[in-house]
Amino acid sequence: MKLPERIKISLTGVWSNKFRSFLTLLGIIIGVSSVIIMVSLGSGTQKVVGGQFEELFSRQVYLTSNWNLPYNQMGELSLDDVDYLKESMIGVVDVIPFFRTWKEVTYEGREYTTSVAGVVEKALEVTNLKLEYGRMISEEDVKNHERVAVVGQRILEQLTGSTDYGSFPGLEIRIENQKFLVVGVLGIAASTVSLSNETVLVPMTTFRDIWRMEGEHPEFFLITYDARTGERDIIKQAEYLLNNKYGTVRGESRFMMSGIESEMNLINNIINIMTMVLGSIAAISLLVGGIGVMNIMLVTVKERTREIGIRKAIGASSQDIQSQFLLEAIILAGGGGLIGILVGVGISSLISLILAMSFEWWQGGTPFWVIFLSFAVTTAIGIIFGFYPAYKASKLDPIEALGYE
Amino acid sequence: MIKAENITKIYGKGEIAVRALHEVSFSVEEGEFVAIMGPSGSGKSTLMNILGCLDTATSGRYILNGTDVSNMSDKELARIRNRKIGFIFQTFNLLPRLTALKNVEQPMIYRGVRKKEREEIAKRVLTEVGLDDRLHHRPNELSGGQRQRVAIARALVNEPDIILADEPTGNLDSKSEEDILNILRELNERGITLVVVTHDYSVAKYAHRIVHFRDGEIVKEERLLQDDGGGSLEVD
Ligand SMILES: Nc1ncnc2c1ncn2[C@@H]1O[C@H](COP(=O)(O)OP(=O)(O)OP(=O)(O)O)[C@@H](O)[C@H]1O
Ligand SMILES: [Mg+2]
Repeated sequence: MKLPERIKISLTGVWSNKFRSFLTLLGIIIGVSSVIIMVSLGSGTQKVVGGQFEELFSRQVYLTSNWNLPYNQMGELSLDDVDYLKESMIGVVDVIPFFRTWKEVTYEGREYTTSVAGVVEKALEVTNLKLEYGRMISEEDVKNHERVAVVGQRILEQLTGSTDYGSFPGLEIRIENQKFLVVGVLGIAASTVSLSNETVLVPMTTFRDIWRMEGEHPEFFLITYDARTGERDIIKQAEYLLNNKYGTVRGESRFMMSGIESEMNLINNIINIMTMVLGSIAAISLLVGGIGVMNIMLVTVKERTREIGIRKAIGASSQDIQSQFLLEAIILAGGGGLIGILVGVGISSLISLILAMSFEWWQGGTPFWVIFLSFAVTTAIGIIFGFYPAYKASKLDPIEALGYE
Repeated sequence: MIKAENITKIYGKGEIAVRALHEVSFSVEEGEFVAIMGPSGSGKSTLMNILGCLDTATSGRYILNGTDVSNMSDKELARIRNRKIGFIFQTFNLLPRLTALKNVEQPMIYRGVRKKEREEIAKRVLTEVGLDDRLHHRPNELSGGQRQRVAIARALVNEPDIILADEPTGNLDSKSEEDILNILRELNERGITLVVVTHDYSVAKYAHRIVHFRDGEIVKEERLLQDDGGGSLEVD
């Protein structure tokens, strides 16, 4: 008897109890989708670990006041700290200050309140911001205190009511009644430092001239470092130097620092917990699912005792019967596996989508191996838990089976 | 064709042991039509099951077509049930979820016949038993007589050496009974060996020979001289 024939007979068996089969499979469906979600999310950090990140972007530390402290104890950075850190730290490439304030931007009577950042020319390459049109603020601009601005396209959109981004450079806008010439347009790009296409960049020097109060202290530094130095090391050095200069509050630094590694550690912790929870759910549900398969197969064998007797009477061997019911169990479990794979891939894509919105570096996706593995595992469950019922079916005495009501 | 020697069948053990057959020797020639009669519980079905390789004797030898079946493996027995024997039951024993056509195809699936050929043969045999207009009906959509005809078709498709029928008309009205009997007689006239268990003399009278059972033993054999319809008696 050929395999396709066997499969057909077994499929008929599963199909004749569709709803019951589906209920039985819930355990396996939940188990498999948990595994898929778990592995898919776990793989989201792989790309970063694998070092496939844009080099510079991954090798930077964000330094700012320790917002956990009371206002009067929080550290405040100064421009002197740029050179202080740059000269004292080993492995550092650059320290880039950012000033920031919220201002009203106006153009031809329309206004828009947004974040304005005072930056140096290097700000663009370290922030992952994307210059869509025009040019970035230059070293000259900074040196000469020029009234130029690089403006997020979203702001210009709102101010002009137009989406002809290419025409924006050359416009004259006002930031709190100060005239600025738009020289560049920022496009859409997620950034780690809350600068976006809704930000206005102006030369740091101009910023400090106009807004003396906000220009006194940089809001944050971005410290970039070389490939031989680790994130922990940079954070330790910076913390040590700043603590030395500014002192600590009951042992706690007045500043805080974070890098992509620390951010990733946080995510990794969450993922580890999820992995553990989902892993247990998966293990338990697969076991329950397996027992479900065994249970339903035992019921099926019992219900179909007469069928077994008939099949034996017309020439089925014990082996034929055994493989028929084993195949049914495999189809049942494997079918659950397939549904579980679909559900799992669906849910993890959704979660991945959400994470990708919050974390620039997120690279989630369901690896192929876990799909194959899930399929293999559920098939194995079918074999393991289907074996006993199938064996029991094969050992039925044909006469007794025929007489079964 | 069939040669059973000193067949004893004991069900159960010890106190509750039932001796259903006691040293029964029974043979059937090729092309013969044998009827088995006897009161309820006399061991007729037990013998049929053993002859049909559905059950094995406690002791004794059973030779089918020259081969000793007594010590065969499960697989070999399945093969014999599949190809050499066509079994017809009182309760039809069709697979309820399958159509008449599919039911008749089943033995050929186990024989490994390809789908297209299977369908052709099944249709042909169903047509022979007069069910060409009921191919796609399920058993519960058929009358008792029609069901039994499906069962006969199923017993025939693998061209067995012998057909064993255990009270094939026991669940049927007299009209259906006659239909089924005519089919069986026709089969026998075409050369198929036939053993039929019956309580009904009007069935048995068509046989070449009637074997009477009582308490697990053969108590009497009669040989009938057949001319058209109904036999006259000739006691051995
Ligand atoms: N599985 C079994 N276990 C125990 N005893 C059995 C079993 N099957 C049959 N018997 C006994 O064996 C004896 C013969 O039974 P069998 O079914 O062969 O009778 P039968 O001649 O076919 O009767 P009927 O005409 O009612 O069908 C009976 O006494 C019956 O009780
Ligand atoms: Mg009987």
